[in-house]
Amino acid sequence: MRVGYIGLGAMGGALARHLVGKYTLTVLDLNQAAVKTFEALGASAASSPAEVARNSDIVLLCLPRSADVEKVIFGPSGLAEGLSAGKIVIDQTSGIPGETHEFAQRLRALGVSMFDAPVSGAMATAVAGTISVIASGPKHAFEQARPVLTSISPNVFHCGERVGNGQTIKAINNMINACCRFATLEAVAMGRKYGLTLQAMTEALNHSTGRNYTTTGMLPNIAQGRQSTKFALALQVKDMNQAMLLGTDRGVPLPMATIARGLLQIALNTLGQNAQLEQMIGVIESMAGTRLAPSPLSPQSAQA
Amino acid sequence: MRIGYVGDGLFATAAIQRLLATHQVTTFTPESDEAVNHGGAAAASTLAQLARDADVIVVSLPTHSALRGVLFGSEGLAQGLSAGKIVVDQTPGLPDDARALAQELRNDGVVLLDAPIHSERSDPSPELSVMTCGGSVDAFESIRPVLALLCPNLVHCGESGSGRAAHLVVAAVAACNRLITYECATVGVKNGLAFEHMAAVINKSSGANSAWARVLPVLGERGHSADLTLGTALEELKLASRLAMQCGAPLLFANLATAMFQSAASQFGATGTVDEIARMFEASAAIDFTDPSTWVSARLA
Repeated sequence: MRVGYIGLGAMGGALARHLVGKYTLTVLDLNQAAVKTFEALGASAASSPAEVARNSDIVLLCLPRSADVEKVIFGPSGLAEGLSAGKIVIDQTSGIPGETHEFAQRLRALGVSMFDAPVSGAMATAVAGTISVIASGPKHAFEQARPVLTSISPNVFHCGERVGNGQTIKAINNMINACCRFATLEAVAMGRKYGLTLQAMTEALNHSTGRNYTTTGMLPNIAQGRQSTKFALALQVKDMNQAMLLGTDRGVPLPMATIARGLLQIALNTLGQNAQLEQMIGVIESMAGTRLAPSPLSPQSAQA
Repeated sequence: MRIGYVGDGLFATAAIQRLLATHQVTTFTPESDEAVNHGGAAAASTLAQLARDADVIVVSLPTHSALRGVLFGSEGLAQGLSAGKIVVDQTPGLPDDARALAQELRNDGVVLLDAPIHSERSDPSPELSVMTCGGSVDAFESIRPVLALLCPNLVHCGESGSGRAAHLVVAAVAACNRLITYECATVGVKNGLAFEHMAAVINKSSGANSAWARVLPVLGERGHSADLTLGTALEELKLASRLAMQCGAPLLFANLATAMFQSAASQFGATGTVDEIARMFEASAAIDFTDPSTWVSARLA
């Protein structure tokens, strides 16, 4: 099978790496250094999306946003010019479900199946090949492309026939994650301010219905002075905004997400465009006037 | 060891049964103001008598003022307490109140451990329940086997008051997990997602949380994920909100949770379980979780 991959950024590049050597791979990216890396591994470079389409049976995309996906598919020398009946397009972008759905409908007129398969998980899991791949769309196209997806990671989900469901679930997952993260950090900040240890609170939370991804992951990392996230705050704000539209556009009030988005936006404006998600720990700390991490041992207490 | 148990809260019946297997247990239930026989437990005629006949006195009451009444009322526990006895206080309350009470009892050589249990089920499970304990670590260790019969997971959190404080932190996060779950499940179904798809992915992703894992499987059939009542959960959240004011923490999410639990308790009654909150989200988005035909707006279908 001939596979194409467009968008070799941090995430796309890590995902496409798993296809090298398993398929006849054609790649495309604006960044020539990324393309050279893949050429050195044995992939072919294409000069346009149309050329990728002509040289592939299945084309995967991982681009910054849905507007880029539209340009790559339907723009000049776009995928659509090289696609023919029976080919499959898989969008791994963290895009807007409604737009992806519409792109899929437009491609259907050409006899091309398109479905979404965004990924959810840390960059390290993308590299390790264990990231969650959340696909949705026509089952027959999904089954045809399944071997390609499982080459990326065995953790592949199919979430219904409607294109966009995967992106919706990913967005909702991120929204839950952000809300639970800050709700947990602010409650732990209160406990720290009262005088509790981070260790006692973490242990109690993880034995209770207070357990969540932050209590099992980030809190122990903070206690041990390890970084637990590697994600740009600006991207988190973009994801959160996109996720909230899924609620507001369908008449769902979002009280908890509203607070989370507000905190993220305040932090981004305060810390600047280069801020990282990890810096939210400091934001929550300064908001409460406390520290989450245990204080470093003073020379005296270390001797004692 | 001779155990006295005072209170008839969520955990009482199951706790007394477990204690009875290996200990002599005396009970007294203040609500009805008369001793109630808990299947084999001896009944004390007064609280003072219960305290005299026990080495460890477990008190599980709804409020701190009820606790003070039981301790210092006429023929109250205090009259039967003496040096060396340990009071295990499971009452949710403000940490500083527990700290002050511990100081009062310490003058008579009595140890008070503040040791509330957080569990959404009446029979605390090994996976999802915790007793957070504040006070003398020696006293805590000396009765650890008894405490382990009350709750499978024990965390000693520090000096007096810290058990209550940690309890409020847990209650705050647990309530937020639940509200976030309802809010995001509502977004999901309004966008045409099936519960099974949302559950399969998110339980294995970074959105994973205890409420999502327990609530989603029963949401479509109005099932129950908890025995915890709205009234009890609300009281705990109100205490968390007060603790935030007291120690100067913003607590944006949990304070909102307090407001939303209050709203739910006002609408559906304090005796319903926290599962009732789902109805508030249904009303807010004009859906019925049990009826998929109400989920998706026309232009999505």
